[in-house]
Amino acid sequence: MVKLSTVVVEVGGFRLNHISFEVRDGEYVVILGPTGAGKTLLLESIAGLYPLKDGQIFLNGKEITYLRPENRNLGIVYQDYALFSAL
Amino acid sequence: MTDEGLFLFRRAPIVQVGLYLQLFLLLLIGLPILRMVLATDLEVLRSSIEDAKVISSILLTLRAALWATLVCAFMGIPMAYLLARHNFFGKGLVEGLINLPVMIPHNAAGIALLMVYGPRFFIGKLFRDLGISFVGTEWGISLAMAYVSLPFLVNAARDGFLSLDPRLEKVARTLGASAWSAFFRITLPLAWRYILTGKIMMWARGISEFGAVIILTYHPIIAPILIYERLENYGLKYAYPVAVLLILLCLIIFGLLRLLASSERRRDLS
Ligand SMILES: Nc1ncnc2c1ncn2[C@@H]1O[C@H](COP(=O)(O)OP(=O)(O)O)[C@@H](O)[C@H]1O
Ligand SMILES: [Mg+2]
Repeated sequence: MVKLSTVVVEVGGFRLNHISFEVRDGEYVVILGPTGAGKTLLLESIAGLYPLKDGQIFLNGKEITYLRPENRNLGIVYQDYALFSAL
Repeated sequence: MTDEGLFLFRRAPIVQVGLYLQLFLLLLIGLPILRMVLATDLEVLRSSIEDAKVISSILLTLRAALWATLVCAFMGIPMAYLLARHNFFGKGLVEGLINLPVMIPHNAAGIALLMVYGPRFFIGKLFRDLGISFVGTEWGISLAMAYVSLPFLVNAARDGFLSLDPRLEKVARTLGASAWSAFFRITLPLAWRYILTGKIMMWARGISEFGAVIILTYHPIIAPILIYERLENYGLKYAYPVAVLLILLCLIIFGLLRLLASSERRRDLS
């Protein structure tokens, strides 16, 4: 279970403004938006790669807002390539 | 492809112009060095190899520049990483400042260094109390070399980090690597060739420094100053064997290092 509550992230001049949603166990969720809408940034923020300005993130009921990415046990795969661009 | 290589005149005019200009530039750079090597009297060259003062000055030059490079790599690589990955207030100013030593006359840089690290200023006094003097010492040589050659290392390392997709680090983080571990196990190994090239450039630039060093430290004497001194006191005939010796040594060292850098590249591509 992943839950976001009023998450705010700022990078450069871009801002994710108060994002809240919940994904329950076994659910698949598709996030749609034009290029530059902030889809990747949202996933990166859930993975802990950017600090939140506001809000909280929960994983399986535990708050992980301040956990470092390496301690979240949460993976992301980018659209263009996984790990090895040559493969 | 191959007969295009044989018949240059079949290429587009702009390519032909480029080739002739390239030839001209090669001569501009190569001819003086070739002429100097060919004009060297072997007897005089041998006597300068046997001249302890010449050898010790060349070794001193190589050593002082190497120290400058290694110490600056320690500080400059993290800085290059910061410049490549982060935006912060005053970043443009920092980048301009880093490149400043390339633009100012190097004897002026030497004077500026003397005013800070010389015995008349409190920083120079502080170092003197620690037993380190930058005037007339190997410390001073390394300091002057570092000042004028640091930009080459920082710029090369920054370009190396910029050439990498930051997503590689991000993925490493989500796979359990700490920020330090991602840097040392992903970023640094991938940027290694740029960094090595930067170190070679900085070392080479340090070896060739004259203007800044001579202000801080005449003795112990580095090879470029020895060349100048021989020229002044004994004339061209005694200056150029030292110069040839230094150039030959540098060509050998940098040839080998370049080979190392390019063999890394070939392995990267395979
Ligand atoms: N590290 C960053 N620094 C500055 N701006 C960023 C950074 N990451 C993303 N952005 C900006 O945030 C916006 C959203 O980017 P992104 O999440 O990649 O969009 P999407 O994945 O929806 O196409 C873009 O305007 C992008 O330029
Ligand atoms: Mg995206």
